[in-house]
Amino acid sequence: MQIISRIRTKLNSIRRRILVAVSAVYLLSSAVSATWIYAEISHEVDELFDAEMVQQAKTLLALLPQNNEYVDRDITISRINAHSYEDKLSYRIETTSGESLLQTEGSLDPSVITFNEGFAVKMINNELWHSFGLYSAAGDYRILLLQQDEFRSEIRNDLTVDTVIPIITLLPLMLWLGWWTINRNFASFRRLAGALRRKRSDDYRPFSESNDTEEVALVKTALNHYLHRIEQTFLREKQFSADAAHELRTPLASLKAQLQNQIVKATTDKQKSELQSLLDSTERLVSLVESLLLLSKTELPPEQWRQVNAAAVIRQVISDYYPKAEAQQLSLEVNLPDTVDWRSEESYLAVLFSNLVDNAIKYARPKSTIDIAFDGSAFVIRNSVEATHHIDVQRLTERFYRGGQLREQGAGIGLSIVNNLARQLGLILTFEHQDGDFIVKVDRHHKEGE
Amino acid sequence: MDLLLIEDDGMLGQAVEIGLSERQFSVQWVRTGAAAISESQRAPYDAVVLDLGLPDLDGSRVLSALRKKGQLMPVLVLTARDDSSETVKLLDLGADDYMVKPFDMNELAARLRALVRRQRGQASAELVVGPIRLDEVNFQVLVDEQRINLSRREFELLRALMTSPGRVHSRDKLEQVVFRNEQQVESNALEVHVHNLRKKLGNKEWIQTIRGVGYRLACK
Repeated sequence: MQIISRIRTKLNSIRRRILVAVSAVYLLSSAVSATWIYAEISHEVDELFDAEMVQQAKTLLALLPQNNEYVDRDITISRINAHSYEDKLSYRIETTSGESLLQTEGSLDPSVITFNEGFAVKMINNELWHSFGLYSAAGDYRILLLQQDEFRSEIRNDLTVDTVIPIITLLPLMLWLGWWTINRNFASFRRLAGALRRKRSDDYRPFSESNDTEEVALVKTALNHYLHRIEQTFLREKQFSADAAHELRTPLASLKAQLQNQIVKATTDKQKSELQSLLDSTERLVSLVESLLLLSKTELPPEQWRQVNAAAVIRQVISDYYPKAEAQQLSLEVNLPDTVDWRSEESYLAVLFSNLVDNAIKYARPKSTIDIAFDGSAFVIRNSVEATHHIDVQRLTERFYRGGQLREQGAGIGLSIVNNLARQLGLILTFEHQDGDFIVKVDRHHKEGE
Repeated sequence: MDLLLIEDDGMLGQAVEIGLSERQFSVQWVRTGAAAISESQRAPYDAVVLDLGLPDLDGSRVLSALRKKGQLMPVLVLTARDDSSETVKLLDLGADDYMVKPFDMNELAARLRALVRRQRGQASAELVVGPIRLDEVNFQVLVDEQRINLSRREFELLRALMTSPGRVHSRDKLEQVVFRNEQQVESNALEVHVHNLRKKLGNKEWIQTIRGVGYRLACK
């Protein structure tokens, strides 16, 4: 079973399938032609030697004196050992009554063989012999010629082997040539796959379609069509984001400006505080809209990938958030190397770190310490949280999930944005909640040079 | 101060017109790009507030048309788009500043005043933080009215810290300012400059080290 499944796995390749099929056809046709040749040769060899036996029998009978003038009886023609095949031919001549006149000496004693007129094939001492029996014209003598089949089979086999050997010898060459041709033709598919793998997520340029075989061109055309469709979707999304940003921000700007104007004009403290609370609500709406716009923007892959010093990016973020942490009497313990080179997009990475640092400050236990470090592979942000806080680590990146920490402002979109950004930048986010500590790790999916 | 406001949105235009009028600006409000171009030629303005999304002409076309006609007054662009390539393009076309909607009225007014002041050559070339005075034009630094001698790098470092006192400046940003794009800067080179600057300022408390992050100017 294991072998069958292994063969199945091996044959899960068009190249191997073609090669196996072509080789099978080649071997099968070779086998058929070898059989055919063997049959043809056997037939021809039999005809040739049968004719020779007839000729020989006729000649020997013609040499005998006519009308029983032959007087000598029972003569044995002894072997002269002229050729190793001497043994394979023998004959006897006798009167019709069975009185031996002449017979050859050899491994086979012809006298023990019963006479048959015409051709026959006999099994004698486990060896195959061809026999031919003939009566003289006057009907007084008869001759039985015997020829061992080995005599014929050697020619048969030699001729067949000589024909088949070139076919067999050429088999490896043919296999190699077949493999080479197939690989050469399939290389364009491999190149296409490579080009597709290397293509950046924001590169929608079509593949050039020059010098392609029909099959590769077919795949390329389909791919190009697909790329075009993705690009259209991407552009529509982008346009939608931009339009939505404009349509939402303009009325908000107007609302905010009007409220600010009213506050300036307000005459009583009561009016001022009412307008201020309206302005605060507007600010919350503004920040929600900004978060949603950012979230929709981060659904799209970044446009410019570059080598970025991720340590410098997070240091900048920390310096921006330092006053906020200080205001909440939190201390920051920062342990970062000078450089951590990541291939990334700086603005996306900055937003990702900002959201994580902002969250750490927002949810840290008052007067605790926030640790931000690089562990050689990942950035680790650790803050302690109130023991009463319930955090469902599985649900953290859900939109609008707030983990029951309602005392803090926020719509619960920050980690969704972080999650989107991590996906776009090929980063892995890990959240842990243990022993009153909340830990976020930011690591890379693919590490360069590995 | 005479101000030309180019804004197609009625509500926002009205709010900005009222808000800026209350903050001592004399506002002329137009709703289209074409009207803005002809209005700018009719009367001289101290500054322009330009919304990018106009119905007839794209805001960037209005901006380049103004500049081509030799109008040199400062232009502040209001935009609803927040992608940096767009803002870079606008600044290259000759915009002086930009704000992303929704903006703060007080900040808009303050930025406009600063733009006009700078245009009239009144921009302050002096940074003052507590007892430290830094003269950007003459490369002089005074501490309690006593002149101190700083190297070029120490001067750049102090200037960077003084531009936003109280803020934490990351090491990486300060290195960029002090060493520009020099290659192979020793990893402790910035620390050395900070150490020397502290000694020359005469008060080691003024430049605070934020461990693992950067530095902050903290003198009152």
